[in-house]
Amino acid sequence: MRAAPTGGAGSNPRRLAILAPAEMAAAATMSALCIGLAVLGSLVPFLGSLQLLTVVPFALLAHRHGLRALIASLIAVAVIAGLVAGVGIVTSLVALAILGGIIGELKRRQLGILALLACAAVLVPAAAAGIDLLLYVFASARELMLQNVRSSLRGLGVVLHHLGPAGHAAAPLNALGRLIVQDWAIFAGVAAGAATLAALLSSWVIIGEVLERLAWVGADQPFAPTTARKERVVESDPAPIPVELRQVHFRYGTHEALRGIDLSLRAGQFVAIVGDNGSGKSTLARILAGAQPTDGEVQRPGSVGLGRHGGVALIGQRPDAQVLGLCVRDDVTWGLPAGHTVDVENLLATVGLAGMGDRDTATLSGGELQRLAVAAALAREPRLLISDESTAMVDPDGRAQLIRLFAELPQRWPMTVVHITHNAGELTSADRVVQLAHGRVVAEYEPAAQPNVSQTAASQLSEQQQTSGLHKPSPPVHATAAGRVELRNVTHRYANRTVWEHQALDELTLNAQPGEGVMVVGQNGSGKSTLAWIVAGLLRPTAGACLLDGQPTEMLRGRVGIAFQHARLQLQRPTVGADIADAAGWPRADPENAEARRELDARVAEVLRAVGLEPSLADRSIDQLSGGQQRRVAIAGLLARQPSVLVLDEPLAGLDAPSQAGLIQLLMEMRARRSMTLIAVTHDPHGMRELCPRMIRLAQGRIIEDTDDPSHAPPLNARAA
Amino acid sequence: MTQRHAQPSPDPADQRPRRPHRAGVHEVLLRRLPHDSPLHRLGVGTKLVTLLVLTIATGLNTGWEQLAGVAVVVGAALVAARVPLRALPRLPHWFGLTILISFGFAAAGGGAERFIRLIAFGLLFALLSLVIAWTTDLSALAPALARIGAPLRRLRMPVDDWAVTAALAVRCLPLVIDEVRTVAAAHRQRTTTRDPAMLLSRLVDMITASMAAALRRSSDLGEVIAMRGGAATPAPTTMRPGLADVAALTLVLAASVLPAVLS
Repeated sequence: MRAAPTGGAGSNPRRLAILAPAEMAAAATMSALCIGLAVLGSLVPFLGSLQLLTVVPFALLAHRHGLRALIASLIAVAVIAGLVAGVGIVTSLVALAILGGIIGELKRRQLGILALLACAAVLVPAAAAGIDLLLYVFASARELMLQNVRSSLRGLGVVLHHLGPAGHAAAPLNALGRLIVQDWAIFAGVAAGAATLAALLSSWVIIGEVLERLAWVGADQPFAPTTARKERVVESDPAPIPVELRQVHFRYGTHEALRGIDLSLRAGQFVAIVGDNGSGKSTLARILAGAQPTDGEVQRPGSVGLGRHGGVALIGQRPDAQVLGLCVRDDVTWGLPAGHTVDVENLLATVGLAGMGDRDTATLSGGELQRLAVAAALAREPRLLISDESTAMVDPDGRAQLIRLFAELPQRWPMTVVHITHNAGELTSADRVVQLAHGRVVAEYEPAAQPNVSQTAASQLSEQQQTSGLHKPSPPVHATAAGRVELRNVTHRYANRTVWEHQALDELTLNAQPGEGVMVVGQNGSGKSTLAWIVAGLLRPTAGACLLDGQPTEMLRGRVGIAFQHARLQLQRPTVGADIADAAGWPRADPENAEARRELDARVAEVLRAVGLEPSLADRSIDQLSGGQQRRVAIAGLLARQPSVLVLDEPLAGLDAPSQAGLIQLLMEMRARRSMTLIAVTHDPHGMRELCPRMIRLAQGRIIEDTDDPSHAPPLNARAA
Repeated sequence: MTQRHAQPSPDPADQRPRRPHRAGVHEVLLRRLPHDSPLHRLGVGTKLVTLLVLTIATGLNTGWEQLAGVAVVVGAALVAARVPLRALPRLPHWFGLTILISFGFAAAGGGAERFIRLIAFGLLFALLSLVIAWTTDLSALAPALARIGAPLRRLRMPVDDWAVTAALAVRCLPLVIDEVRTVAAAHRQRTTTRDPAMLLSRLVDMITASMAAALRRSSDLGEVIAMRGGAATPAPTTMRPGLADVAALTLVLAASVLPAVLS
């Protein structure tokens, strides 16, 4: 139970939180999947079988989190789907949840097919009895449905009779109809039992395979900051600052992320922690947020109090992943104990979101979402605010605003701000910079006293300059080459001719020559993603045409490669090698044929090397890879198809500077060597100018700027004005 | 793939003039009508009770009187929601065709009246679900759920956690749908040929990719919840049952009980 943070102890209604955060999160995510499937299945004609797939999320939930999470999820799904898709759906959802729950539980206990059959021996008669009971109670509905079956059978007989040759089928059809109506209990019971058995067996096979392949997902996340409510019961009053770390080590399995960190943080400072990927800076953030070190000592005057009033607040990297409320105001107050009032308007004004309390969180940009996360953190008046790469996925303007905010906060409130970043440009306003490398503190300085950029940052910068200097490809113009993209008056409207009609593209005309690099820039909702989908042939425009070498792209699916922002969604086979082969359209190797397998392995290795990955990765599971590696594998699969056009959706988002530079270099080589047309869609032109010299700016579905050399373009803030 | 240098057709853009067609059902699911109406303001609880009572009443009595009762409720809802005609999605042609053929068989077997009743019930309930989806702010669901489930709290059931889970599910819904859409698109991009033998394996691929994305999202979400110090009681609802709710429930009860009395 939570201590009353506002001093009004006892006035707050206390409650038992039974679900741990991880359980609740899993239940909510899986519920959303199930609701989507159930609603689609019940309201779109002939997609009913989609409903059956809800058994998979239910089983996964039971497998990973047990019964409590499954029940919470079932209730959420039943209420929401029942409300928007009809109460009738609830019965089948309950049945599917039971089915999934049993299979998930059996898999968790590593029981085999015999245990499944034992469960079936109970479940099959239970399903039969359940259906019969429902039909008995709702006799009127039963009569209507079964009599209808009967007359349809009779009608079928009549039609067959008139057709002639199959006329003798009429009598048995009649008899069958009569039997179904009279002996409904037997018919319905047998049908329900058989369906249950079939569903059990087929789900067993499918879920078994899915669970096996997903074994790696989440295995690399050994700790969430707090997991159980018990920890909250024993916590004393939060006082996370000043904190002193002595010889702190942290190990993930065999990997040592922190190797003896000594660090002390005082109140009222803005501290920047800088380092490359793998330097241990995120792990250090977790330690400051209360994770137990493997070895060493952490001293604080009180408890950490993560998310509590006066405790620690943490802001993460992905803007869209941090929103919990449906509107801005709800998100700020999410999780605050009942009776705790905060001045939401004032908080929003502090972070620069004044007057946006009623906005739908889905309409905010990345930078706005991160500032909203800061507001939600401030609602708890934390003594320590940790930003774990919160600027990494935000455009330059948003980044500058966030940094300014972080620098201001310790001056306005008694709070320490720790900002973790790999971007050396963000250090100047910090009171203190701590530089990490390989799990150790390698430098500590005040940026005002020592204004030179740090070593790593300097090396990153020079690396970028090198890549941009060395690989300046002359624009390859091949008059006969394939890869000419032409958009002619393309208009696209979602939910066309309904109340929700939304115009994403408006009479857009655009030509890209073979081998040209085009960057399409625009804010959320400018239509740039729609453009990417249309060029890739995944969407048919409402009006106009998108042509590749004179043919509509929607007929040429697969000839234009598209790399989605979230690479994991694109990788569909279990291992890296299998996925590349699948994406390339190479036939799956016959496991018997060693010759063919070797040949396939060699081709996969070649593609992997081309995107700068070790060929030994081929046998790895997709989910063992980092985000950057996944993106490279996705690109490798696309390149193996030899596309004449490659569309990239936010190719650099979420990558650190060295990975970004590497990817840019790779794509420049591809463009130059294969004269491939590149269309990159992004909200942040930063870092992509060498790759895509031509920049097209979209707003409200129209081109508002088309410059061939973006260095002549006006600076960002001037453009925004 | 197969024809890298296909013959350039003269001008495909002009060759196939298309009439922009109306969006299908899948494009307008789970969307709220942007305007305000009496039905928008009706409590979520009232809507839930309406669905429940009408469904049970229909299960017990499928006569024409009951059909009329349901039709009155659905009609009243359509009027109270001020549903514009342009909200109605387009149904595929073969949907109507299938119903027509089925009707032919049923009629030949002497069950025309029954068939019409069955289809009418089905369409009315689908319409009712759509109207409710069009007018219900799902973010109001969590507080309503917490209040409706209040008696269960005595049995030490985590009603508040369920309510918060439901609210988070609503929040995740658009993100998850978007992810599944991307998985399907990536899949379509790869499978330019159809091989029925691969169907099951392809299905497992797509399920796995969607589930992997959902699992990542869930572990992120779990951390974010922990960062906010865990879930608290959902904010108490400001909506109290008003006259409109009483009137609506009276109508629904009348539409459910009267037909049974009359028949």
